[in-house]
Amino acid sequence: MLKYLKYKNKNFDMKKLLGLIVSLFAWILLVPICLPQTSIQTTTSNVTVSAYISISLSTPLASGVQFGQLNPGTSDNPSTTCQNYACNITVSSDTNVNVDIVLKANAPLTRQGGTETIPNSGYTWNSTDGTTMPSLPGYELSTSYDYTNKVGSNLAPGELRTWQAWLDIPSGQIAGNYNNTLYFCGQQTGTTDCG
Amino acid sequence: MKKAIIVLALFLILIYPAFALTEFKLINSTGQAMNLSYDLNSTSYKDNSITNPRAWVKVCGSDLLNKWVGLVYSGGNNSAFKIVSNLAKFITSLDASNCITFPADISSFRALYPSRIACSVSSSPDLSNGNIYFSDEYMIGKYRVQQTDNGTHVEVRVKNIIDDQGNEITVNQSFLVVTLIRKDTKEVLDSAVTYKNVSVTLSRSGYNGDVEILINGMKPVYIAISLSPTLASGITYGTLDPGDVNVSSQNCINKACNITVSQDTNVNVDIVMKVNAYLTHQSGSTIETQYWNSSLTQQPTLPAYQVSLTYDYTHKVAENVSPGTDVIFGTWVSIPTDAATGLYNNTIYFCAQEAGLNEC
Repeated sequence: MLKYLKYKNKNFDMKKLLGLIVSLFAWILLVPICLPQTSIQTTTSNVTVSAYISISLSTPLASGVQFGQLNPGTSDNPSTTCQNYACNITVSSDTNVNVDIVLKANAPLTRQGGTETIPNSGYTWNSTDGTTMPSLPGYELSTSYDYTNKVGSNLAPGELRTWQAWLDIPSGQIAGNYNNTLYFCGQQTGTTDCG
Repeated sequence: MKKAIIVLALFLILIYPAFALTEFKLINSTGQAMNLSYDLNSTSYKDNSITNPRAWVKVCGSDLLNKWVGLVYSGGNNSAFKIVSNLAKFITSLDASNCITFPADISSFRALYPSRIACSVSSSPDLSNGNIYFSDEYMIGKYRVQQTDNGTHVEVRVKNIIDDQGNEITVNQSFLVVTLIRKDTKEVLDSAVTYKNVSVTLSRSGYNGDVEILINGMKPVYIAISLSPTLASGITYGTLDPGDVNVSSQNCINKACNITVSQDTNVNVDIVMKVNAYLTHQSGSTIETQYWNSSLTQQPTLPAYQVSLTYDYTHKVAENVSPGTDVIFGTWVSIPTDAATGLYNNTIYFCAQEAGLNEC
């Protein structure tokens, strides 16, 4: 390279180049390493923001899922409440993680003033992303959170699920008013924090 | 014969009593120790001027007789010094206490810069090869320097020379005695005489430890702060929920986070702070609502100021605090309701600078 430079440029001076390199190194070595007129100390700070999850139920859903008056021996009776996209579970926009929504009931539908129940095997539900109404077949209602069949999976803040339920009334079911409580739980996607 | 002479010389050196002053002061007419201020009229630290009363030198020592004594600029050795007196005083008599007081006779042509008052006691009227002594009095002022250290040599440039009124001294003469000393023993390693803004390179003389610079016997402006172990180990706010407001750090409580101005800092300082970035998540999202407060007396309990990405000279962590001062620091964070989950961190810089300046 140096020979080439010498050949191309008769004025090329290798000593000057070496001098320049040496000067550059000297300059680097002599860059001030200490300015005693100030003193600087550093530390770090950190905070961990926990997951924040909030879901809400549409007003009809929050006011209770009604199936109306049904006859024994009938199947797949849709709830009257959750018609026409009326039952939605929405992940709030201030939720800061993606969310799975799972469902359980406190108990099978139980006759008021009695102990008779309508089995959960006949209480099914399904959900959609809200572009279509849920349809059968659905999932059997469980009295523990069902992590296999989720109402919604990996939902981003602001997303919703439209929900519907169907009920079978066994033949010979004693007349009366039956009720239970449904729990919708939002948890960070991939966890089983709902218990 | 030669051997005998050498042995005799060594013997004389060994038995010759070490020369020592028992007292050295710059005093006024009433015998009180006095400092000298910068006299704008003579542009010097001359005594007997509009600014300074007449000054006298008081020296005491049993072996002062027949020695020359004069005030000098020096860093402690006799290889580099500048005479400050008009004439050196030849000591021909001492009082019963082995002391003598004589006019300082400080020269307006030589006493140009701040210094620790020093004298040379020499066998020569030019004060060469003399013993150097320091008094506790000063020509009041200060120096700011820039220094580089490559491990074998220290290069020093005097950037600013400031008088006792805070004004820059503009007279430019080669009356700056720059001395490199060991920090522990104060032993002089090297010294040289220079001008303002003209660098000198001093040898460490093989010494690898901590060193200090003296300019005319004075330590230039030196500032050092340290963080308490708790603060130095990092501030942590713990795990917080979105929407949490003004949550104190977990560790900067009960006066655990202190910034201390070192005792060897030789000016009052302001302490300012900045952050390298707002608290930052790995995704790049940030939390800007980080706050701090400080106090000299008690643990701050309320957030006062938001952190800044540049040094905040309006809201100082401490203002005009003296060496040895402890500043108690507290910090808080509020979590926006839309903050993403996860770890956020940043780095906080505390900078101490000479009070009133913005040099950080």
